[in-house]
Amino acid sequence: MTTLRIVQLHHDLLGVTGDRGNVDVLVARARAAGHEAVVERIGLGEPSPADADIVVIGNGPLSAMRAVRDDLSTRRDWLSARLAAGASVLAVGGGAELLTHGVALLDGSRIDGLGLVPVVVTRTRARRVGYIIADTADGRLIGFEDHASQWELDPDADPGIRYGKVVVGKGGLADGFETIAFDGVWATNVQGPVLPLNPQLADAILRRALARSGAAYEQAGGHETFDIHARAARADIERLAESKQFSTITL
Amino acid sequence: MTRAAGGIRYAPAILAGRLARFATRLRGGGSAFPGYLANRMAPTLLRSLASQFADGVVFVLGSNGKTTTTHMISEILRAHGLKVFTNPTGANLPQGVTSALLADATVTGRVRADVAVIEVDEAFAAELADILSPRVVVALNVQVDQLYRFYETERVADMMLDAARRASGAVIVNRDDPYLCKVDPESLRVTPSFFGASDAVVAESAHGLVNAIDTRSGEAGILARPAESEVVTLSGRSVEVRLGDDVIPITVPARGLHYAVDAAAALSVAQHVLGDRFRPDAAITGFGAMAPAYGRGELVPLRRVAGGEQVEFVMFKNGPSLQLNIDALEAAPERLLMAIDEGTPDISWLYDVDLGAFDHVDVVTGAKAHQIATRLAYAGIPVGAVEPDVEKAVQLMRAFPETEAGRQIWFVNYEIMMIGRRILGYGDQEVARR
Repeated sequence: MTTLRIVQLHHDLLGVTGDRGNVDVLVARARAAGHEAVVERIGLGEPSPADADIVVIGNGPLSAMRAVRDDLSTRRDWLSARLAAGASVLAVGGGAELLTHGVALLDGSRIDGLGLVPVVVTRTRARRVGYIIADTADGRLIGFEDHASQWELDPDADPGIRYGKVVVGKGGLADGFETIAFDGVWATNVQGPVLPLNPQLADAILRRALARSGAAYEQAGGHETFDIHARAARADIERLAESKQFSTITL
Repeated sequence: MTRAAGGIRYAPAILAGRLARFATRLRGGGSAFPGYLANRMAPTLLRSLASQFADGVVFVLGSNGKTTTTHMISEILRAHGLKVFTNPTGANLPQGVTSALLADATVTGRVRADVAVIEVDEAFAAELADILSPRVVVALNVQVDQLYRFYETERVADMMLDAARRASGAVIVNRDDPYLCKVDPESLRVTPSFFGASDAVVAESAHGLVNAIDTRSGEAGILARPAESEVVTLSGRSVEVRLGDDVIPITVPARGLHYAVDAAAALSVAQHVLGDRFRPDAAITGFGAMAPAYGRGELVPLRRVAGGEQVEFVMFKNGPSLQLNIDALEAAPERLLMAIDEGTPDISWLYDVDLGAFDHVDVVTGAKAHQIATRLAYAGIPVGAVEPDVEKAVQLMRAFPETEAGRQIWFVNYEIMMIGRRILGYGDQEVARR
């Protein structure tokens, strides 16, 4: 048995879309696999813990992004050191955008990011709202998107870090891609929250985090308690989303 | 022709609106179209109608509690002998408000009531205030709600405060709301008044008031403001509100801190509308006469048998309203249905709600039944059955043996509240809010 250390940063200010749910899922699935997990929630000005296996950063409005930005930037070295040591980071929405180079806003101003994710974000007038489905190496990424952001990958960045190819919905990246994944970082616009609806992604994050201490992550009987419902929820969303796609034959 | 209020020139618009209203009723549809029609035919009609209420127009704004508070204010004023116009069907968008006003006016464009108490959707509050010129604006709370529609919670606060700037008589604001309590008095035409709940009362609620934290001003919490109206005790549906120097004991229509706070707001509004005419005993009578609003603690027979087992509908629209209703439970529900459909597009917030007061859920239903079940599984709460079809879910609930309390509790979103009432044989109209 290994004890996972999960840190949720700015749970209060960046936690507007059920972001604690992502943490709950990591804890529950780690335990179902026979491991232990401890969660630390770190707010403004509180010291970062010495170590972490998984760091979760949630979603919030622009005002919250502005409110945590300076605090988060003081943790930049801590975060990159954790990543270098094999930790994983899951960041959603506004929290993910703070890890990029920065966010260009509609009024012409800018919020600087930490530059850990090779992306520049531009806020758009049009909002992208609705179910989203994207094909990934880990299986289908399914959830809800609700954002007004276009993410642009750095010109010299590896296009292979685009995690999901959008099947239904819009996605945050050009050419129908959604979510950036590389070296233990997952930066996504997918809500729902993302992990309850995507056990395959939760398991990928846990597998990597546990491998750090040489531990294995295997699904056990307990996982089925959650996944029987998650599978059905995913199937419902797929059915609903597909019914909204046009299959008209124009003659 | 003079610019005087009312008159025969409005008759065609009112009659056309009435006819359209009758036609849509026959069809069984919503009631917004007649208002649209009348607005097109006589754009000054609304302004004229609104200006005629001798005791003015009251706007009720807030993320949660608008319908309940509108109901409370109306009943308090009625108990004082006033004739009240309100939009009781929950039609809080401009066309719905117009339709309701129209239905109440005479053919020559005269209003029949002394005062109008109107709940208004935040997004249209300022626009409608420019037309209806409210004397009193009450802002109940800013809670995380419909982000897919409002994007950011502080925008909702600004929408309410923007409407409040148009109030000519009183602005009544929740002292315990981190955004609203920071209202800038300089921006208003009147000195704001505050309502709230005492620290002791808030402390007794498992998760407090669940108002949105202020992520904008640098002060996340509230400012100390003296409350003109304050909940001082709360026990089930029994509430004591201190209003000025009086303590007024009332019975609210449903359990919960949120209903008590709505009552404090309503009493404050009534006092501002009535001035010297306000009488605590009449206010108490008004609360006593009050039935729960649609789906807010309302009781409906489960098997179409009067006197038989009942369903208590508890409607939630978002995380805060679900949390406040759960916190108001006296015990874990004996027989519980939980339902959400696609009327609530994103339910990510379900993971921010503490469901620990449930020891089980009998039936989960609605188009999002499996998403709810996933949430319950991660919360470790046993689920009896997952049945997305609401009709079948109702059959499952009817098949259970009768509860000891003689009452099941159905936690439902707005759309399923309407569907559920219809299946149970209580399908009255309440037009859609969005």
